[in-house]
Amino acid sequence: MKKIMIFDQGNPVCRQLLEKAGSLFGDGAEYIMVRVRENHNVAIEALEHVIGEERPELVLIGATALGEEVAPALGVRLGTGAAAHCVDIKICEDGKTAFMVPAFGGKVIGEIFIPDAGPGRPAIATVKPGTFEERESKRKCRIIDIDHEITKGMNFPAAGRGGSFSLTGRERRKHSAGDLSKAQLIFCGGYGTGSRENWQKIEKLAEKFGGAAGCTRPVVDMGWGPDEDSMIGTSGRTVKPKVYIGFGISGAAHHICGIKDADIIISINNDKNAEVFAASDYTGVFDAEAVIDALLGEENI
Amino acid sequence: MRILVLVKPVPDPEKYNELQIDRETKRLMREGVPTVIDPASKSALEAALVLRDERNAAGEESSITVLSMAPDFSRDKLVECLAMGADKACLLSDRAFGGADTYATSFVLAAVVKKLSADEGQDFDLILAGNESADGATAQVPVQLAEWLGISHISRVCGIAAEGKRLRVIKKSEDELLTFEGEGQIVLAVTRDINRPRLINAMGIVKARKKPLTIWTNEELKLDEDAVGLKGSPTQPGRLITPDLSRSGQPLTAGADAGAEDAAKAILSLLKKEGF
Repeated sequence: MKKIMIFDQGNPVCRQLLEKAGSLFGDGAEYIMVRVRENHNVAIEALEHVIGEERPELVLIGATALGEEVAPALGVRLGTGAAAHCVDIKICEDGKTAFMVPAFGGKVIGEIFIPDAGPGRPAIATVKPGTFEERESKRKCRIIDIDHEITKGMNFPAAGRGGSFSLTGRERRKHSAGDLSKAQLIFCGGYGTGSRENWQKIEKLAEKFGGAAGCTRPVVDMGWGPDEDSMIGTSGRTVKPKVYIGFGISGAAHHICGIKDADIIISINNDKNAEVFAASDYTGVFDAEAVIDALLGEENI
Repeated sequence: MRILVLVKPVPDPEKYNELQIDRETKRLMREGVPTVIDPASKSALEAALVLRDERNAAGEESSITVLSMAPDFSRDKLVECLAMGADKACLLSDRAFGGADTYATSFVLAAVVKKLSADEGQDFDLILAGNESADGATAQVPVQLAEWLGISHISRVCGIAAEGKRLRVIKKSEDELLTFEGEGQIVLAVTRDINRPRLINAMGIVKARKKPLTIWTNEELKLDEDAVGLKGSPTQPGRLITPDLSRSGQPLTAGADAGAEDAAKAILSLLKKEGF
């Protein structure tokens, strides 16, 4: 790959992608960062236009709410393949680029190749934020600032396909679970915690010990309080704490893959056959509520 | 309002720990893992049912067609959708479509949408789908279907409201709620937090038997076989691996008579050691 384009959406993932691409393709390749901070309709049109002019062979896009909508659209418009949510990108011995994508909640990782990719018909890959390390990148790249072009009056045809629906409002969300991804200590509640009251105790534990509270899918589905922002797993948040303590968690593949980067995994479940135990460093076959209560009242033990 | 819902039958997401790769063939073995309707597809159908009933109550004749591209044994899953309340179902099943990536899948789905619209002389006003399925979870098919059809699309939708012809759609991004408004054909990909899908009742099952379920192969669609399935896919699969995520699993407490308080003590000392 000689020319790599990265979509800069205004968050750190684009630096992570630049760093990764640089480590793969080195100084012999050219790196272009395209800056668009608009909604998906505008971003798709703008990137399609820039790709047509610059003819990159690879386009890397952060798998955010915006990026996930832009990447597959570009795939169809440019007649090329898009690999979703890559956990790694590798160069094989024969020089082909392999995109490593997860399936079945991360239980399986598959290689994806895009054999017909070339200049102007780039391989497209999305990567979730935080997948690659964030370092102060010294890699040189050229910046194309679409926002600047738009404000200068250069009009990308945003009113084309998709233009009949326009953005009429944006509101900051109350709950932004940024803390979970960066938390060093996580208390996580699963279906086995049993009730809304016990979920609240998980939150109290987090507060008491200075950690963050997370949950699994059934806790969200049962309506015990937390929403998807607090859900840990491949379809929710991927976490990398020093210590993760799970209560009443069965160990579904999509949850285990979301905690695999924790330094220490401690699991409490009263079912000795819970699958989570095989993926834990420390295990305790106890009633989750009893251990939670003991931790909350630790002064007494 | 004419609504189409894309429904994906998937291996039961609760059973993904049981999936293994065959050492000889290197293929995924999914024997014993039952097929269910993808949970996000179910949320899409629930959203459709609510909209249809609202529009019908407002005097606008409305209907729901569910569409799946899946192996023939997935027929039961479409019957389940009819039992939930969908009006018609269409299953697309042909070996030629096998091995398709999202590009080739959405290409075929677009052809079906066009055929269904042409057969009935009317376009779908709204196409609903789950934002990402539990198995592949690429979140690409809804967007790509819209692109093939040349219509609008919005992903990660957590709210939909209809006022006459006009739709108000809420998209949840990392730190914002974005509201989009407009008219015209659109594909909306919903996340599971949009609703809680209803359960099927006995009356639904009885009614489902009388509802039309069409099964199409490529004989009806007549698509170029090089443009569908694995052949029509710009991404090609290589090897599969199952990452080893096992850990040592030491017991927190020693002795058979250890209690919850002993476990709590062990956790406290581990936390202390790690500097918390």
